[in-house]
Amino acid sequence: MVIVIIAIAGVGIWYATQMPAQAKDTLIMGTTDSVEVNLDNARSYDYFGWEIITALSSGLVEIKPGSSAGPNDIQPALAESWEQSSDGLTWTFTLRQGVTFDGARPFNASVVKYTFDRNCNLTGNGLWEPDGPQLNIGYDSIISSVEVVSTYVVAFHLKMKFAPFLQLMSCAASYMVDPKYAPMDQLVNYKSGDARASHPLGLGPYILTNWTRTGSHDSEMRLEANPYYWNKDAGLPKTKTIIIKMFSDSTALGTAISSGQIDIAYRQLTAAQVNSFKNNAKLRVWEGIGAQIQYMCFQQRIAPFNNTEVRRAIAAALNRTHVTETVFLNMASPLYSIIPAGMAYHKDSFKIYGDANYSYTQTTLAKYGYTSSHKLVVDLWYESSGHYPESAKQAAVYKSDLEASGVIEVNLHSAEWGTYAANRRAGTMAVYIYGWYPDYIDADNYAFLPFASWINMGYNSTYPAGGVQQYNLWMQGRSAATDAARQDAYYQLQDLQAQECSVIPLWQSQTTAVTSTSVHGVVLDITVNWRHWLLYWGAPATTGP
Amino acid sequence: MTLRSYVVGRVLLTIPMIVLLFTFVFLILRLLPGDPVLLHFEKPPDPATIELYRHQLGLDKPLYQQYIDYLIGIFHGDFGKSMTGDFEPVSYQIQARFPATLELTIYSMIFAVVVGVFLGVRSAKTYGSLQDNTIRIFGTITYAIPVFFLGMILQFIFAIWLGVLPPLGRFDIGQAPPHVTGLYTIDSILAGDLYSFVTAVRYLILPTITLGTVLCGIFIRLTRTNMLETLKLDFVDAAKARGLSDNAITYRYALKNAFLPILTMIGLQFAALLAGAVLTEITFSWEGLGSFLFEKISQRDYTAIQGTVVFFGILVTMVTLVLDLLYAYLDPRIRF
Repeated sequence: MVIVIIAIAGVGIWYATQMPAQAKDTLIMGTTDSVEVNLDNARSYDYFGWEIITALSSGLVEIKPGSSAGPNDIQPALAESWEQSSDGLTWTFTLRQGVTFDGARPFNASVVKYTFDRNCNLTGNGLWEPDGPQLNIGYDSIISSVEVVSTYVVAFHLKMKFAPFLQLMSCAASYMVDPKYAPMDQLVNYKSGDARASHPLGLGPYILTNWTRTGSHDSEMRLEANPYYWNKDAGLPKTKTIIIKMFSDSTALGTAISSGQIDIAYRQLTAAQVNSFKNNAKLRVWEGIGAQIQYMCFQQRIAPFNNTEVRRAIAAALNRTHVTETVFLNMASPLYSIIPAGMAYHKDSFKIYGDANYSYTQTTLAKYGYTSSHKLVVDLWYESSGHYPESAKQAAVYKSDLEASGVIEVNLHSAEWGTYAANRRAGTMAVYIYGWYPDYIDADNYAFLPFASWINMGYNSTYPAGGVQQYNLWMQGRSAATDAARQDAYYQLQDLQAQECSVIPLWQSQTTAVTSTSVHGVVLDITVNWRHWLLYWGAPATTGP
Repeated sequence: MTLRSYVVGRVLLTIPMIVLLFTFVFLILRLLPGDPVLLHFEKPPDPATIELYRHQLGLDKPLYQQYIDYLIGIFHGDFGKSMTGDFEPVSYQIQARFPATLELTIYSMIFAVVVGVFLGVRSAKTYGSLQDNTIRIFGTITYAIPVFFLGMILQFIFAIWLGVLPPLGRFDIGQAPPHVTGLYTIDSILAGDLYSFVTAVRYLILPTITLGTVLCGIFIRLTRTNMLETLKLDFVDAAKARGLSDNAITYRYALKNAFLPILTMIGLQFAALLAGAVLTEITFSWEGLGSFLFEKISQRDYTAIQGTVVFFGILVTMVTLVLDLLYAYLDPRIRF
């Protein structure tokens, strides 16, 4: 055995000295993600799919890196300028000229119309894929038609006033397709050995030159700088080649970054791994705000959870800091509104109850006969197959915090995702934990959750009165003509949601990436967009966030 | 019984074994709770959509019809379509991932047999000595050690601490050799690329030692026991009396006689090797059929799980059959 070990070490040392130095124009990124279905933005509806789409395509507008994605944080991309009609029902974009797909075929208003006509018509229209972002976000309820006004002017006619329209245009589902590779009547799926034919996109900072995938799981991708990128003069992308390597789990990803096999590890390292890497002089930990949230839902067809005061009492007994510290090791933040912190219009409305406010809980529940000898029994459900992070540990902490009030008894139940979703649809879970990840980065995409009909809590836009009021305020916010009016509507809405407690916000994710100290350009903001094109290799930086 | 009738009987016996395997896997997967169709949707789909998916996946047919379709498909080399992602044929997925598993299992088995037999012989030859006891303890430990634990230890020492070997994967990221057989060591030789060959070997070392070490314990014990018996036989004394060297007696005559049970054990260990390969592949991010099976179990992709398990089953059955026939050929007594 000793001989074998010595032989291995000898070969390794010899080989290590023979290895060519890694070129600085290539970065290797590791992830546990994989494209869920495909890279067609008429169907792609997962984080990683959108991450790659934003590298391979461009939208009319973008959200400024590092901003709160508010109305003043939108910057031009394929559109140089835009204006909204006085009735708020038409948005007109003047497009950038001289942009081409391949040095010859031009980008113009027809491409914009083609993109939206194709993507909106392809899904939810009796075709094989009755799914996808346009369907789930409801593009057809927002956009009436797309009109080619002139070669470089395109107009979107809306069915309703929609204040976050620019935020919608900045999300990956609204990015351009290349008509040459995007059939009007067909989705584009992965084709083994032909990366170009495996997606319909174009005009982005990168082109996809290799995509290896088996069993619907990616192995490797290679992004090469697009020589025809419209923003090339700005020095983008900053790195010529990015290779993305997929790992099976966080352990493998952590091993790869700590051994120097990859330059960047992004999604998903555990909190414990990230904390350990903070002490590694060769690595740099980047931390930013995240957009994933979790909240507690109440099935109001099951008494006593139809009682607003009972729900408030539960809200007061929760201790959000406890869960973020013990379960997420501070890689998540307590959340006091359904609109996450760091996003425009956020307000900490749920702070009115405080955390672990047991006197409030005891006093309130006593009104309904719940005491230390006759406790309120809460059947709390959580998802057990990894759909949400650390669900079992979270549930244990919630149980411990609620029971610390002395007047609540919690019975924990779990189900894997398929059963959990079926239970939700059947309305059989009394109290359950749910999560949300945004479609487009705007308060509008969160504010409806406490009365979303698909969560099936028996609390929605038509019942009860609080639900109706919330719906009206939401509509007011999304159709507001001014920023001040939007803010006013969302502030009122968040206060009302705290009063109603149809759902209770729990925590908000943080985003982390670990890189070699020589990697720069990582931006982690509320958009949670991973901007490959800003990454570059440079002089080693100080370790730390 | 002649060799011919033995072969025919043994081959015929394989058929009900494989059919039983197909049936068992088919039924077990359908008895599991959870609806694979509903897993496709984040938000509840309408009933027509659910029916459309069921129809596409053949789940709207009666169970017996699904079973017949499944059997017909297998005999045509078609393991059905994956239930996740882009609905690829499972046979394509198996074809894409199997070479990696094959490469790992071949080298691991070679390592396990060579190291196991060598140490087993040394142990028998030094019976009762410190060396014998050390080898026996080593054999027991390696037999008991969890494969992923050993893998992580080796990763830590050679990849992270010493930094002399790559910790994960089959090849340098983004630079796989041209695909011919899918076995990178063979492909790099076919391409005449020494650098690629050395790279492929470097990536093979840790997973091969991990899986091979765990398996070699059984070969150490078996070889030792058989060699101890064989070394007591009269022909060994006769060979010594004729002045043959110690090594010639041990390796040319005694080991040859003791090798038949080892051959049988290679067949039996093949199933254990594949089971170990699942964990080894996960530990080393080795993109083979084992890690594929793990992914598919977590995705509840019933067709892919079914196809992979059946493929593994057929493989183990075939290897066992070949070894049985080889055994019968080498030892005529087995036929009667």
